[in-house]
Amino acid sequence: MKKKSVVLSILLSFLVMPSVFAGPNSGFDFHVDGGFALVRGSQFAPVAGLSFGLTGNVYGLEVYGLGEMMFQPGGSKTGKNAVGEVSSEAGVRFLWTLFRDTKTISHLTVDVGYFAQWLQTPSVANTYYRMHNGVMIRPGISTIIWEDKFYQMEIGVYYQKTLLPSYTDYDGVVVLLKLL
Amino acid sequence: MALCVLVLCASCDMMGKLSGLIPKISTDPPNLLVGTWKVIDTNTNTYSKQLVLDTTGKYSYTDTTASTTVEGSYSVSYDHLDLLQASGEITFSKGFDGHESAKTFSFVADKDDGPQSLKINNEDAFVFISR
Repeated sequence: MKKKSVVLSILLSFLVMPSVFAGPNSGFDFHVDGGFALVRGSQFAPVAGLSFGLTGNVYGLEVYGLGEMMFQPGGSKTGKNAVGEVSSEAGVRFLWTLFRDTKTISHLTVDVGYFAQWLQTPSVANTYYRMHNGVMIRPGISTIIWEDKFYQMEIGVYYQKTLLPSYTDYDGVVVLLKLL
Repeated sequence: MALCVLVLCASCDMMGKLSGLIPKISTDPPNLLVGTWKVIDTNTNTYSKQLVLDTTGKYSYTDTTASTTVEGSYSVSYDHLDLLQASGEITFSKGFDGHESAKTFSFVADKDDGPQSLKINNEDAFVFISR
């Protein structure tokens, strides 16, 4: 009996969910995200990913996946500790509308995700090993800079912070351009 | 028909090449200790002990003062894992004296110069020589 009511409430919450996002500009969103992060102080790292979800007048909720590529694996150009480094991340993006007019919408966003650092050591070729992994939070502000009937371009500036456990090498500013 | 077979063979070959290019991922920790390590006597500039740890999990330990060499397999487990500093336990199938033994280790690397030192059981301080 208790199990049934739990299942029913989960089903109901899924059914009610779209109404939370209801509004004239509400709907399903799909974005291709691209940009860069400044990690380990000032190291430039390209970022790419996908995100999709529901956006409404005030609130929005997206699921995202991001990948970062480090040009200096392990923080060094010599490659004596690591010859390749990438990071992967998947999580949920919460959006709140900060400002809206006829041409643009600004959102306060917070990403909450799980990140993993993948390193290739000099002794084993073509294999990436998982090293640091944990929770990533990325608050920021994104603004639509161009909008068409079906397409839009949005730019966001964020600060990413690793938690649980903290891995300060990946903390830093991120700039993302969201297309579609 | 022959053309189809040729195209198929070429695509198979290409697939093989492509799959070789796709990197593998492993959730197991990397082995940071791989390489040749030596305990060097700074006065005589000679080494008294040598430890070779290879990528396949085999090791060779040589004590030049006792003129002994032990070979076997080893495994590494980490308490702390970072590219520049790691510690944990290393188990040698035949130890350094012919008997299996688990020893603690601490590993230090330099950001640009790579592995530097490997301290085993808080006693022997091995210096990194090469991979």
